[in-house]
Amino acid sequence: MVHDKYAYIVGAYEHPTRKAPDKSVVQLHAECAAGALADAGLTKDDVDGYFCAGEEPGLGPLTMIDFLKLRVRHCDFTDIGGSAPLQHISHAAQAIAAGKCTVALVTLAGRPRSGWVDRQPDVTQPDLMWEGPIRKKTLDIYAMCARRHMYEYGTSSEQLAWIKVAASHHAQHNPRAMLRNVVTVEDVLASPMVSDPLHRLDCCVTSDGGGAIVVTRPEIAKSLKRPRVKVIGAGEGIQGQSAGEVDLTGSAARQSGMIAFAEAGVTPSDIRYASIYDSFTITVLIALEDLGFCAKGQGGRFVADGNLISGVGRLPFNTDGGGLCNNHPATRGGITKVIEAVRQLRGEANPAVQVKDCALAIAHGTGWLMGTRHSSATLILERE
Amino acid sequence: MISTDFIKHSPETKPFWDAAAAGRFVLPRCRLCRRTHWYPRGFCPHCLSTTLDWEESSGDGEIHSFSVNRMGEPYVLAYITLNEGLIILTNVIEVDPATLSIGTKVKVLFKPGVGQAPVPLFTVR
Repeated sequence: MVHDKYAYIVGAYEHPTRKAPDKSVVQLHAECAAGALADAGLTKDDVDGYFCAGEEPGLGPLTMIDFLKLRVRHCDFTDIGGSAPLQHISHAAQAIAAGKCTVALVTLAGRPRSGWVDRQPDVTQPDLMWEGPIRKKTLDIYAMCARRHMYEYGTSSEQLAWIKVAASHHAQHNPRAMLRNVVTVEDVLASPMVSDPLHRLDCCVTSDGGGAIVVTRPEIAKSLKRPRVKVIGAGEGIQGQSAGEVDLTGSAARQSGMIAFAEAGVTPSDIRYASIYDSFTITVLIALEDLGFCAKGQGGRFVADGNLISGVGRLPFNTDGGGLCNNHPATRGGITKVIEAVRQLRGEANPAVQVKDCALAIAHGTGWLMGTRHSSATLILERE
Repeated sequence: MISTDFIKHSPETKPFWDAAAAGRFVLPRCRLCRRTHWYPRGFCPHCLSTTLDWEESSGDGEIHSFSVNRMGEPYVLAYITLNEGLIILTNVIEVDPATLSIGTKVKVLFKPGVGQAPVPLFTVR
């Protein structure tokens, strides 16, 4: 990324709903788009780039651009699971630097709580023939990652529980969070064992909702009234089963993080706030190791004793309560990770969890299933 | 899920399913780079060669990791390391989950999976 071509996040909006039986998926997209543009001080006529992935119906952006009545000259709907919005922001920054668009809108929305749409299995998807007839749920796959991590590194259920404890400490200050009660390590361990070794409280919530982000060029960002958040590093990665060479304790965050930190010219110790995708507690632990916040195998010790709690520990994380306590719209937590990082860098997080003088943040997403095939997308964001 | 649809749309896997119908567990091995892979494809994902031999495997291996879903009747999802070194996703069945650990020795058996679709599953040996 060339230095004079940095892109800026100028608009961010999180839909307030957590359950929306009275709204369609596309309506939620539209309300998120309106919210992010209003936050930026821009109008829909300023948008010339559009990005979406996930629950949007039909032919992705083709359907959505027509539905929203946008006029764009660049679009992308790369779907790599829950981390897609982070990758979209990276791709938007690249498109802006290349002159392909000037104001990019990224939206995400879904309503799995109110109306899950069961999609027919794709008979041409090569792994489904082998994995479709196997009894498994998403949490079972993450539970296998957790067990292998415990086996190789001595990680404990108590250490994993600290991740939920930290999220709950933050969620108590968020009136919109689905789970606002502060929990203890003992509470997590006493919750039902849903997929051994993961407990119910090791899992994220399921919520309706969505969010949107607006990315633009430096000169437009500087003409707006909002605090400026600069995208100074971005990386992505895909990791699968490698045809039988499965790695359950490491993720594509090793690659996405290395690229993003190198591009930004900063190190993990410079980061003041971290938004880390948290579908399960183990998702956070593995990502923190792979991003370089601690050595591989040391994640359990790193997250213990409140080290992720704002005002208490060294690395405040997911100060909105994250997917573990706040929301996980469309079963995809990527965009909320960026939104809370933007709040922190603007100094607009809840005062109880606001990191003092927060100048540098990371937002990291894990898409689809760590343990079978997943994506990682990492953004390094700087307050200007 | 109708497995025959999958086989119809993935004709390269027919040698595997033909062998499975005869009770044999076979693995594709590349004639060029000599490596094997899972899940089976019609080419070698290590080197892109399309010359494969379907070698019989004992189907023996050990548990690499596993989870026990307890939201209803418990079941075991596992990754098994075959003796050939491949790590494959499967269910371990006909076993008391409390007796399992990483390293437990297992063997393949063919039983219908979800939707009665054929799939290699494993049990303790």
